[in-house]
Amino acid sequence: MLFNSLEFLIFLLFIFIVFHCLKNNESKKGVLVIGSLFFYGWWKLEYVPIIIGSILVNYLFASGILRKRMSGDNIKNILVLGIIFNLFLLGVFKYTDFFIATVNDISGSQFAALGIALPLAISFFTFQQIAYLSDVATGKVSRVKLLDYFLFVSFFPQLIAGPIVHHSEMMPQFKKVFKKPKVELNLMIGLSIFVIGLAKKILFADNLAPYADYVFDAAEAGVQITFFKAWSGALAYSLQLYFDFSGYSDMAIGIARMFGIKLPLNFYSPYKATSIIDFWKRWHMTLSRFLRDYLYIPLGGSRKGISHKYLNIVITMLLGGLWHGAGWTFVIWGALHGVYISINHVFRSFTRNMSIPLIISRPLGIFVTFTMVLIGWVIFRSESISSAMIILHGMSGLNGVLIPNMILQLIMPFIPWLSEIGIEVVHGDPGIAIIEFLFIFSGLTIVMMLPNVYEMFWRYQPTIHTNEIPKQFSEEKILLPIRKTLIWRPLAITALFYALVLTMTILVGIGIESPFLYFQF
Amino acid sequence: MNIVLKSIARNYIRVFFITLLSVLSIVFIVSYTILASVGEQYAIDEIVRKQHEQFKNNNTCLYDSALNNISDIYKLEIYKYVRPDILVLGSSRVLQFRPNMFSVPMVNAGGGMGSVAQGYQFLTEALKEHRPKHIIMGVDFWWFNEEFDKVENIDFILPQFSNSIYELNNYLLPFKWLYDGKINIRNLKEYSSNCHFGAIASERQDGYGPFGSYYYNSVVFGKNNSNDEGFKNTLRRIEEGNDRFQYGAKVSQGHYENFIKLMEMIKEEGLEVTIIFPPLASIVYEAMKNIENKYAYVWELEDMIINQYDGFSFHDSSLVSVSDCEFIDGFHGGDVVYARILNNLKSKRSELSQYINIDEVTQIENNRKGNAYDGHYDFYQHVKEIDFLKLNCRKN
Repeated sequence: MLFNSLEFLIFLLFIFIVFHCLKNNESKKGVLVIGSLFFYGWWKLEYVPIIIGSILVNYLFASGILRKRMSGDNIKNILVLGIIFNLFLLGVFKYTDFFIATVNDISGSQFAALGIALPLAISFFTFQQIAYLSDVATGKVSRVKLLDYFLFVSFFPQLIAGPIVHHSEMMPQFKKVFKKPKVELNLMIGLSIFVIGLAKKILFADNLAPYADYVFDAAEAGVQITFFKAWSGALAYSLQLYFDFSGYSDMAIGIARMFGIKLPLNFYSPYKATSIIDFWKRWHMTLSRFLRDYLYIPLGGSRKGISHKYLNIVITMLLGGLWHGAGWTFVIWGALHGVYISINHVFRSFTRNMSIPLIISRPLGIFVTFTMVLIGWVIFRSESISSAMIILHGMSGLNGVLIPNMILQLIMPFIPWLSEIGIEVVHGDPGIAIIEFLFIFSGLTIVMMLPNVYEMFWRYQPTIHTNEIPKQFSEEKILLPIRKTLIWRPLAITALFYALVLTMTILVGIGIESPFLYFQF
Repeated sequence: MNIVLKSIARNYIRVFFITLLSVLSIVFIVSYTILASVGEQYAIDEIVRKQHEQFKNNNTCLYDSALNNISDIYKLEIYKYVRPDILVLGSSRVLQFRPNMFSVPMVNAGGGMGSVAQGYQFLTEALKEHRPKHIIMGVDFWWFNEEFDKVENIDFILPQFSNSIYELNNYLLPFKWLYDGKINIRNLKEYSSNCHFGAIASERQDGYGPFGSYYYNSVVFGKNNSNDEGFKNTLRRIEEGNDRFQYGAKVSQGHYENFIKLMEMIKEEGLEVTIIFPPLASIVYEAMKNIENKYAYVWELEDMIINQYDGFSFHDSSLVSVSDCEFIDGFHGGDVVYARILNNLKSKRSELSQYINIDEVTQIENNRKGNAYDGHYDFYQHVKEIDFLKLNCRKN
C-alpha cells in the first residue's frame, strides 16, 4: 500500500477514525499495531511473519539482556547473539545473491543465485532493533511493554522507509501523547505536511523520473551519453531522489502527527549544504545519526588518532553504502562519500583560521558540494560501474557536446560569429525538451531557494530535534522575501491553497502506481 | 490546547475539506458527464452486447476508446459473444477483413496479437470458450526482430479485465481531450444521441464494428488528415530503420521458437489455419527491396513460413493487383486490398474457400477499384471517399 494510492487514503481515514474514537490508551496502541501489520501485509502477506518474528525475537533478546543486567551477569554474549541474529536475517534476505555473485566473479565458480525476495523495509526495522539492543545493553533503556515495542518497530508511517526512529524518541510519546490528544491541531498540521510530501512525490519526483531513467537506461545499453544529456540525467535523478525520499519522509511525519506522534526530522534542505559534512547532517539525518552512534563511535570514532578517524569514516560510509543495496555501485558510492568527508575534515583543519566572506564561501561551498554529491548519485543510480562511467564521461564532455535544439535556436544569430572564432556548430540534439529543462530548473529553484518543511512549520514544532535546527536556520538568512510568504500559517486561505494542491495531486497522480525509490533499500 | 487555537484548527480543517470535496466533486461530475456522453462508462462486455443488440436492429455501432487501448480484451469478449467459424488473428494490419466477406460468422481479432507471445496467449484464452473452424493469421515481420521487440515469455499473463472508468486518473482525461481537440464540448448532445461507444468513435466515427474489424472513417472521408500522406511517414521509418521497420540480418531464434509453439498448439487443437503476410504499399515494398540486405531477416522469414507452414506472402501487393490508392497507409491495406487477398486465396486454399463470400469479394474487387473503403456501410451519409493519401487517386 503506497502513501500515494487511493487504498492508502481510505486505510488512513479508517484507522484515523477508529483511533480517535477509542478512549483507552492501550486500545489505541493496539489499533495502530494491527493497522501497521495490515499496512505491511498489503504488499505481501508472507512478509508479515518475518517482521513479527523479528520483533518477538528481538524483544526476547532485549528482555534477556535486561534480566542479566539486573542480576549483574555478563551481557556481552547475549548482545552479540542478538546482533548476529539481526545481521543474519538481513544477510540472508539482502546479501546472499550478492555474496554468491561475488564468489563466482572471484573464483570463476558458477553457483546459482537463490533469488531470495527482499522483504520490504527489512533494512530499516533491523537497524532500528540493533540500536535498541545496543541501548538496552548500555543501560539506556528500562523495561518496555511488548505492545509498546511492537508499535515502536512497526508504526506504519515510518515502517517502510523511515525516518529511522530511536526508542528514546518514541516510547515517551506512546505513554504521554495518546492520553492528551490535540486532535484538531495535530490533524491540521499533519494534513498540511502530508500534502507537501504528496505533492513532492507526485508533481515533481514522478515527473522527473522519465528523464533520469532515459539517460541511465541508455548508458546501461552502452549508448555514449553526450554532455548536456548526461548533466540533465544526473540532475533529474538527483532531484527525483530528493523529492521522492524527502516527500516520503514528509508524508510519514504528517501521518504520524495526525495520531499525535512527532517523528525525527530526516531532511533539512540537503542541497543547500555548504560542505559534505554539512550534507550528511541534512540528508537522511536519521541514518547518519545511526551510522554515527552505532558504527562510527563503536569503531573508535576519532579517539584513536587522525589516521584511525579517517579509516573509521571510510568504513562507516562504505557500510552505509552497502546498507542501501547489495551491489558494488553502492559500495563505491559509500566509500566515495567516506573519502569526501575525510577530505572535508582535512580541508577544514587547513582553513580553520582563514576568514572568507560568507557571500563567497557559501555559494562556492554549495556549488562544490552539490557537484560532488551529483557525481555520487550517478554511481548510486547506475546499474553497473561501466554505465556510471559512461555518464561521468558524458558529464565531463569526453563523449562530445551536442547543443540542445532549444539552446541552438537561441544562439542561432551568433553562429556565424562563433564560426569566425573557430567554433563550428554542426547540429542540435533534439533529446532535451523544454519541459525537461523546466522541470529541472524549477526543481533546482525549489531545493536551493525555498524553505523546507521544518522552516515552514517551525512555529508548530513539526518534528523532534527542534533544538538542533535554529543554528542552521539563522545561517540561512540570505533569504528571498518569497520564502517568508511560504511560512505556514493556520489561515483559511492557507487551508484553501493546501486543499487545491491536494486536489491537483489526487487528480494527477493517485491511481498511478509509482513506488518510492527508497523502498528498494 | 487553548480554545482559540482549537477553533482556528477546526476552521482550517473545515475549509480544507470543503474545498477538497467541492473541487473534486465538480471535476468528477463534469468528467463523468463527458465520459457518459461519449459512452466510455460501460464495461467491455456491456459494449459488445449493446453493439450486437443494435446490429440486430440494423445499426452498426462502433467502439474506440480514448481511455486506453484494451483491444485484446475487447476482441476476446466479441469472440466469446459471437462464437465464430472464422477467426482472424493478427495485428491492426488484418483489421480490414470484413464480416461481409465471409459466408459464415467471423470475428476479426486484429489488434489482439501484437506479438507471437500475445497471439499465443489470446488463442489460449479464446479456445477455452470456443473452437473456430478456420483461423486466418496475419503475421508481421517485425515480431521476429529483436531490435523491435525482446523475446517474451510465451506464457505471459493477459492483463486483467478492467472497467477503466473507475481508475481515478481517468477522470482528468476528458479535460485533456477537450484541450487536445479530441472531443468538442458543443457536440456532447450529438455524442449522446449516436450509438457509438468511446470518445474516438463518438467524435470521429472511427472504431471497431460489432465483429471486430476497424473503420477509419474520419481519414477515408476527409474529416481528419492522414498521417502518412504520400507514405512519407512509412518511408521515413524505412530510411531511419525505426518504428517497427528496424533492420535485421537474421530471424530471431527466440521469437521463431515461440511461433513454432503457437503453431503446435493450433495443430494439437486440430484447427485449420491460413497464414498470410499482410501487404505493403508498392512504394514501401520497393523501398525495402532497395535496401534488401538490411531487411535480410524479412525475406528469410517469408521463406521459412511459406515452406514450413504453407503460408502466403502479400508483402509484394502487386501479386494481387492492388493499387497503392487502396491502402490506408504504407503498411495497412484497405478493405478492397483484403477482398483481393481473399479472392486470391479462394483457389489456393480449398479449406478456406468454402467460407468466403465469393460474390461479395468479387463485387468489392470490381466495383471499388482504387478505393480503400468497401462501401458496405454509409457512416458519413453519402460523403465520398477522398484522396487522403495525396497520391492523385481517383475515388468513386
